[in-house]
Amino acid sequence: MQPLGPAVPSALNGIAIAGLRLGEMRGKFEQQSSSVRIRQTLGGYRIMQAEAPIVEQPLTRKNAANLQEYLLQGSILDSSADVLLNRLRGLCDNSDSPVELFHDIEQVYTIKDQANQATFSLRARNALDNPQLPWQLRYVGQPEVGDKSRFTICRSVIEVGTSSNLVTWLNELGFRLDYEFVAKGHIFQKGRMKILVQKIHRVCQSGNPETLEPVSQSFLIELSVLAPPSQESLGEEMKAFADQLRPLVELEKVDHARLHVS
Amino acid sequence: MGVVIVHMVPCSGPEALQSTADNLCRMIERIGGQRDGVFCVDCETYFNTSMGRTQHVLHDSEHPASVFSLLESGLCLVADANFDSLMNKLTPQLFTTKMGTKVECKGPRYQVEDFVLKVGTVTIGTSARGLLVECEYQPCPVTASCWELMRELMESLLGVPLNQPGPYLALRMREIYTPVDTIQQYMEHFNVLRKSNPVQAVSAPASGQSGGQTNQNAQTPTSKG
Repeated sequence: MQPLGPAVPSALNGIAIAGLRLGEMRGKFEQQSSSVRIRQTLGGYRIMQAEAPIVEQPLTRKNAANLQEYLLQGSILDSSADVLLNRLRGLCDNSDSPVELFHDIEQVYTIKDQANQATFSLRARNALDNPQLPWQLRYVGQPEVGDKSRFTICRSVIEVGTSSNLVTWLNELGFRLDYEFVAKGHIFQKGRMKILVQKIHRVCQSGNPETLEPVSQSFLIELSVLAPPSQESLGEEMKAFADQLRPLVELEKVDHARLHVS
Repeated sequence: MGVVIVHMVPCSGPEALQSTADNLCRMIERIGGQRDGVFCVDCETYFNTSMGRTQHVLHDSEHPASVFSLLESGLCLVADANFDSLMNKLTPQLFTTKMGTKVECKGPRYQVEDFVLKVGTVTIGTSARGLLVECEYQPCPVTASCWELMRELMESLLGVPLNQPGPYLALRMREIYTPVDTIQQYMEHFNVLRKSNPVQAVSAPASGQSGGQTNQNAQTPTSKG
């Protein structure tokens, strides 16, 4: 399913969380076993018994396709944000329904492997306005920005919906909190594109997401699509949409490494 | 989802596993069990040697969209299917697996009125190690309320006394049962079977089912079947 927002994807994928949504999960299982039942009705019970293999397919998805996130970023001053929101509301899907809001906390955990000195980081995200929603564990790879023929940042992203004990799980595995922030804003959807208009807040007192301080006087705009690798046409689609937001906001591929150096 | 108990069936040796499983299946069919497909529970163990952490990643065909990550402390994270992709990404840089350590429990699944019964052969790598029977009573979510009922069914099937559930479940008799409890019970049995010698006879687990059953006792119902 195409994710809609930072914490919303986990909400949508929440059917997977055992113990949280059992009814829906059983529905999933019934879907999977429906092929067996069809054979049961067509071929008769005895035949199915003789033919049924012990396991139809392995449960571990070893060769699941990794999705790439195609991303453009930009910013707009607080004073002009309303104009942009109105334009997005007109351009995006479901323009007649109220704009979806989100209020999430994201914590970035890192671990340094002593054997090969490599550092890994994982992000834990939870909706503060609806803490019952599943947490989201996210792996974000290194962005590829060097390719001049490509219009967008392209990076490997894995999003996993999880139970609420995610932070304890990360700590027990040896991950340590690096930094955290709170994102508040609006989500829009246009086809398979997701548009976030969000305000990033610094958490002044660690562990207390009520003590917030805005990082800047601007909103961060992100236009992203999660898709399999080598979807070159996506760049054109995103560029066309980004052009419709000019000159209010210039969505570009931002080289994070260069930002860091300066 | 009701309450599930997972019980290890004592066998006289690895070669007797298949015949014991077949006999159990025949007994379940005799009491009115309708075969309703197959099931599988698997467990892959990941090690981070430099940090000294171990993580067991389990899948259960009863919850095909979920992945369970179990740590040494007993903490269980329930995640969606993308968790496998994440582990692929973290392996082998952060975690490694050992060849031939994957545990699988596979077998037929039966529906007997309000019960679901599963007879699974446990293999570690390529060698068969033991036989597990899973019994689920679907209408009830609290173990204490239906334990006697489940015990009666299991005792009549296995022909051995079951005095109390395994150590994990015994501590949670009055709590609402969740799928994580099933995974924890499987892990208890997998740990016992991993430590057991594949050549030796697979006997009653050290992890808990009391009743002092012997191999001879275990064979009693199956030989009748």
